[in-house]
Amino acid sequence: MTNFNNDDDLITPGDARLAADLTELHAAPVPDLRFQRPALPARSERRFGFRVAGITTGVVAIALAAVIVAPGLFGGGTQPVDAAEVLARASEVTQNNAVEGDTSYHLVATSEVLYDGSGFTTEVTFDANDRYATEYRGLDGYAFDQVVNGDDTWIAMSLGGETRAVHGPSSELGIDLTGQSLGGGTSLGDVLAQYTSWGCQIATQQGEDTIAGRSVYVIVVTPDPDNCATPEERVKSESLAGSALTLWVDQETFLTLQTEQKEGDGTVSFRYTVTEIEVGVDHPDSAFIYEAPPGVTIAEATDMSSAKDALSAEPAEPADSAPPESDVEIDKR
Amino acid sequence: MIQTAAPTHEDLEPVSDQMLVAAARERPDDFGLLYERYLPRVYRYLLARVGVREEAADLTQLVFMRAFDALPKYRPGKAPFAAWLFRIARNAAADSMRRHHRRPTTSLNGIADALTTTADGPEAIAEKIDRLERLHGHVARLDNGKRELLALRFAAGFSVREIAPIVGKSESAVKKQLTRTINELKEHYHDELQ
Repeated sequence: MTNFNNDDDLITPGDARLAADLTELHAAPVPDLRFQRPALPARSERRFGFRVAGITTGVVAIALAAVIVAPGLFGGGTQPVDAAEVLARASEVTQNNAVEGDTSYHLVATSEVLYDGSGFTTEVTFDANDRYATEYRGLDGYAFDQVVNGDDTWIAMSLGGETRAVHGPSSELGIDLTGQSLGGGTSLGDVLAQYTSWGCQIATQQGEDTIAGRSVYVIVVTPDPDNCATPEERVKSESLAGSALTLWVDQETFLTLQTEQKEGDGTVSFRYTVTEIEVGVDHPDSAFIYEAPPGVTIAEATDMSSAKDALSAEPAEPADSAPPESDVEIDKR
Repeated sequence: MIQTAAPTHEDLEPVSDQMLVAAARERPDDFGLLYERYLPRVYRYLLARVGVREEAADLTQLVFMRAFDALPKYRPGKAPFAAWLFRIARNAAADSMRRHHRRPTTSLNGIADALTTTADGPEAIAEKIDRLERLHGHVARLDNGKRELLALRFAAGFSVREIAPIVGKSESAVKKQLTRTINELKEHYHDELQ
């Protein structure tokens, strides 16, 4: 069987010997190799392997929309921002922060991304579903602020000393939590059910503990390939064998006060810990009004698209870098 | 009788690659069918690139593992499966060569052993090995791009049309470069062919 003259007349009949030898030169015997399915997915896929209890709130939507534009916003020689990474962080932070009902709180949390040494802190001031403020501060200098106050939403991002901010109606920016199911629910059963609902993982309570002075349930989520809906999910779930997501869930508010992701090899890759929390506190109105740093103009947006445009627009020319006046006199008549 | 050429698509396609890809997406175990189909071509291509049997075997496994992981992201409309798979193989070979600071080379690994199992007499075998060694020397002196095309053509068994999307060049550019390479080899190989 030869293939050197199959469709392109590359080899003329006079070259047949050369072609045959080239073919033979490349026709090494193939060893008896068996395909070994990867034991673990790529590291990047393992970071947030577990599906977190399901809320898809407007908070998440706007947070993600905002962080997605970050690389464009801060392009051109400044420190790059991995939008996907920030997206995952913002999603996690936001989901951890939502609560059911009228519980107001203020918390400070640290997150450690242990496999790459990065980390961030978050501070959340939560009054109600339509009144809260989140500050995200990354060790890499990236900062993200989101303030929601009724139908007013502000989003600001900073990197490398540059801040951009936008303000717009919450209803048009996807910030409408009315009727949304938030947080872990109102009972331990709700929490367990939400983490198990995907089918490919199972959540069980494994004791109680105290985090930041609060009583918590300890919940461990592990892969459960046998209950996956599709073969693809089963493969994914199987690839997470040995890994576990542990959650420490507040017994009163059902806020997640700590999470820890353990990989299949036993290493902990991610940890989120609430270090300070006050529940049932009155917040001043000023906590829900964004104040831009000096020199930063807040752009007005009417919808998500214009918010993105405003955040990713080229920075305005500083006044002192304007081109010098022309020496040529212009007749303005 | 030893197999003297990498099989072509036509030889191996009672079921299309596309159908196998779809099946593997539904049932990951079916990825084994794609593996069996492409194992010889991937292994021989990698052996031609890195020149060491053990390393080629390790890289072959790596390539298929990467392909298995990335299969959900593969878009059949953008490139044939074979082109997509061999782009993974190409990157793996390049990474390996960079890591080991090795000049890529065609290898005679295992070929001499295989020839001894043919029905040819000892003299004919010795003559052939000698000739292949000379050819191997000529190929080894070619630049990297030309050796790459030879590997894709003669080790992986691709046509010019199939090589083009793998290396990101037009068909005519690939054909031109391969023709030039073969002519170059022919010039040096002339004596051996007499």
